[in-house]
Amino acid sequence: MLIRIGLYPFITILFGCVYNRTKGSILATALFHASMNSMNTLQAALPPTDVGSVLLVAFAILAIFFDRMWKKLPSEHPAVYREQKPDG
Amino acid sequence: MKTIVNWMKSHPLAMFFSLALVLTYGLLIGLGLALASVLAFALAGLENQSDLMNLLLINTGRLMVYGPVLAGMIVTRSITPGQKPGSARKRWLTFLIVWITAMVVSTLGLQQESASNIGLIPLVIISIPIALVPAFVFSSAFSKVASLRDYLSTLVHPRGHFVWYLIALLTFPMIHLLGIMITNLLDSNPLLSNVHFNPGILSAPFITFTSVFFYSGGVNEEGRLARFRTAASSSPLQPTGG
Repeated sequence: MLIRIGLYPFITILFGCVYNRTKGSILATALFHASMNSMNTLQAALPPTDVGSVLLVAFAILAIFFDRMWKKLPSEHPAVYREQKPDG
Repeated sequence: MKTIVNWMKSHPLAMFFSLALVLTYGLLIGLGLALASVLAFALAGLENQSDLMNLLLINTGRLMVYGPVLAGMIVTRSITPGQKPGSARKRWLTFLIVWITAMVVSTLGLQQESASNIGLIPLVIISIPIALVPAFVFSSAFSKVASLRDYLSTLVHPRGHFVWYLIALLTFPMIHLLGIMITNLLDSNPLLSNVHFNPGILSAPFITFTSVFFYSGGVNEEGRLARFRTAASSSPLQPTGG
């Protein structure tokens, strides 16, 4: 359980990466989420390992560096929220 | 009412979080329990009442996690209610297709989770109303309200390269598989020694996958990302997933 909680920040970084890379697609993140949860029912076939957790952290760190995630996305990027002018 | 709408317009993010909390933990619990009571009463003649109540509670949970996306839709619609002509045919067709699909998914999901001894008919009856929620969200991507259409457009018009959708689907299975292979390599075992894979084992993950997609963390939770993400005001490293 503690390992899982510790992994959450890295999982959310991967979510952010998928979201940004797909220019703000809800569908891609929804598929990502469903794929993640469906692994619980695959545990009999593919049991989770400590090495798998390390790999997940490594992928998240790679995503940070490849996508330069410490920088803000440019304001014209489709994944970036634009302030809506209220009607009326 | 006008004051609330004006406040909503000037504080959309605060309104979104407040509404999401209220919908998730308040209104939807009430609605879910009311629905559960009605259905339990309607199905009172059946055996396995406790199993049935468990299933209705699962459905209440499914309703609750729709709080974020419904809150986003309400705020979006309230701030920018301007309408543009849209295709009613597409809207109703999407509604129907998603409703039927979500109903099948819900029935199979409930059967898998805890209802092997409950007949199919009660499960279908329970699934009919709950499947209306994803149908409503998906069909709103063709709403007359232009901002709502924009808010949910990526659900029906996928953006970005398809490779990223494959990555989204395969990242976790690949991480699990690689983890097992490396562990076996380090222990000097055959690479796939503890992988017990056969085609039949795929049905449970597939049902879970579709069930999560529609009901517990897919469309409903990730829907909040579309507009009310924090990317504009903070680092993209800020957690966005759930």
